[in-house]
Amino acid sequence: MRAARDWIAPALLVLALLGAWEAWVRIAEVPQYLVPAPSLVATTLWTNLDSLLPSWWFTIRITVGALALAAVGGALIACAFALSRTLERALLPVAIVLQVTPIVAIAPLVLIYLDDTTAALLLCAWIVAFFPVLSNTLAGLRAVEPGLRELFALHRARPWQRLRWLLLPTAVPYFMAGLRIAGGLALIGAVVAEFAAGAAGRETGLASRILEASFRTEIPRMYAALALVSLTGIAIYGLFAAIDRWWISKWSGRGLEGIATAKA
Amino acid sequence: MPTPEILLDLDHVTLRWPNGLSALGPIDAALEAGRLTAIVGPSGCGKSTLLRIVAGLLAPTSGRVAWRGREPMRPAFVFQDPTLMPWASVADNVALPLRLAGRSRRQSHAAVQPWIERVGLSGFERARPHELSGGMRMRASLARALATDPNLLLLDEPFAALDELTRFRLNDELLAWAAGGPTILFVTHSVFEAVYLADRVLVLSARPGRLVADHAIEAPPTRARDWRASADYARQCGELSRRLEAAAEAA
Ligand SMILES: Nc1ncnc2c1ncn2[C@@H]1O[C@H](COP(=O)(O)OP(=O)(O)OP(=O)(O)O)[C@@H](O)[C@H]1O
Ligand SMILES: [Mg+2]
Repeated sequence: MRAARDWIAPALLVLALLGAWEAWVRIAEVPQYLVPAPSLVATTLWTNLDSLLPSWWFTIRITVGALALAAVGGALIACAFALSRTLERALLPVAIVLQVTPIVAIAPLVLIYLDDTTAALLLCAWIVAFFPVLSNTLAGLRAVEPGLRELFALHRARPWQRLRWLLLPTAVPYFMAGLRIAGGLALIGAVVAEFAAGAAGRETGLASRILEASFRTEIPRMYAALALVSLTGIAIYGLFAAIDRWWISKWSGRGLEGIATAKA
Repeated sequence: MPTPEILLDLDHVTLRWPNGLSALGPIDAALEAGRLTAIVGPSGCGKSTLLRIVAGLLAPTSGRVAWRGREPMRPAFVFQDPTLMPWASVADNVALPLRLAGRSRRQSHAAVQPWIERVGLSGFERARPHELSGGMRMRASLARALATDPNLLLLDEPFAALDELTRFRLNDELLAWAAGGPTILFVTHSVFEAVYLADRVLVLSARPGRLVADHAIEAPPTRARDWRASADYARQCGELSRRLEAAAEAA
């Protein structure tokens, strides 16, 4: 099976790296408050599951929520921009400013203005995630093949027909590529914003667990929470890559190579 | 014989691209209703551009295109490339113009089915364009144009990518279909095809394309395979060839 072969090499590499790490920590007798062995991280993860699982779930909810809002918001704003150059000229600079300003710098302000911490985290994660969806979808809406444009013009397509049967289908793979980038960014936004918020509020996510552990210098617990963040990122990326591959092969036989990806 | 009805007048039409390149004209010509007019000319002389101007997809830089038909223009265009939507099935692609005209998916699919069969794509209704060969894509594009029941059919080298057998078969199909009366403007690189299909051949010069010959074809009342093999056909092909060669030199 091809899928299995694709998995084996990276899996072996990860195992080898973990093995080397474990061996190094044991042989060099590195103290666990500096670098814990992977096995210790795993057992810490297991024994702290009670506190880590709810936090993980919280972080996932913020990430997925922000991502969903970024998908809808980014695509809608892109459609609006595609319909009106004036709107684009007026609003794109705002979007770019939001994009280029580091979220750690914006997050404290958002947390001041919004009383609800969960809403503030959601907004922060959305701010970092929506831009790649917007810029990719916009590129897709503008990537219509000139011949098809002429065909639609010849048969006097109405604007909504053009949007539904020409612009949107053309933009779909671009939108998907944007979403794949946005997935990782939403997670980063959710974690970073929580760092800025500090461990406040009743419900808190993995960032708060990392902060807590760092105050108490519980390094293995920091690693355990960190491992969950990484796993979440990998899972999101893998999920979108799979959706992308399935959708695009089904859809047009066109590979991803042909599709420009506006990097965040 | 009554003078044929004029369907479309090209009045001193020229086209210059924004980059300053002069692509076409000036051209003066009149298209006669119900006839098949072929356009031949050297590559890059502006044949596709002329077709786009006639279809109203491109405004001429100067001059005028005047539609004189009794009913409004219902153009269909077979572009030089198949221009199919890669995400849609053959049936959806062929049905697109009907759907744009407001017909339902079911109605339009039923309406295009005979055309899909006539171009030899039955069994491929649900295939995506990337699953077709180049020639099959072109035939889908052809079916899409024919299914709209146009009164002006513009064809830009529609058969160039096809094998000769299919090409001959579709030539005959086109003649049979054209006997119904639509006006056809047909760009081709093949002198043989122009003579076989056309009532009249417009020969364009090298870019910027100007009309250098308006060549009438004398054909038997019904053209068929055996005409292709006749001495008369060969003679007319030779004549047109010479005119085309002269046109290529007249820059
Ligand atoms: N969008 C454009 N901008 C500038 N120049 C163009 C454009 N499209 C075509 N041209 C030029 O206009 C000229 C005519 O092009 P056109 O496609 O009409 O030629 P053609 O006669 O159809 O050629 P062929 O037989 O190779 O299809 C060419 O020289 C081409 O370089
Ligand atoms: Mg051409």
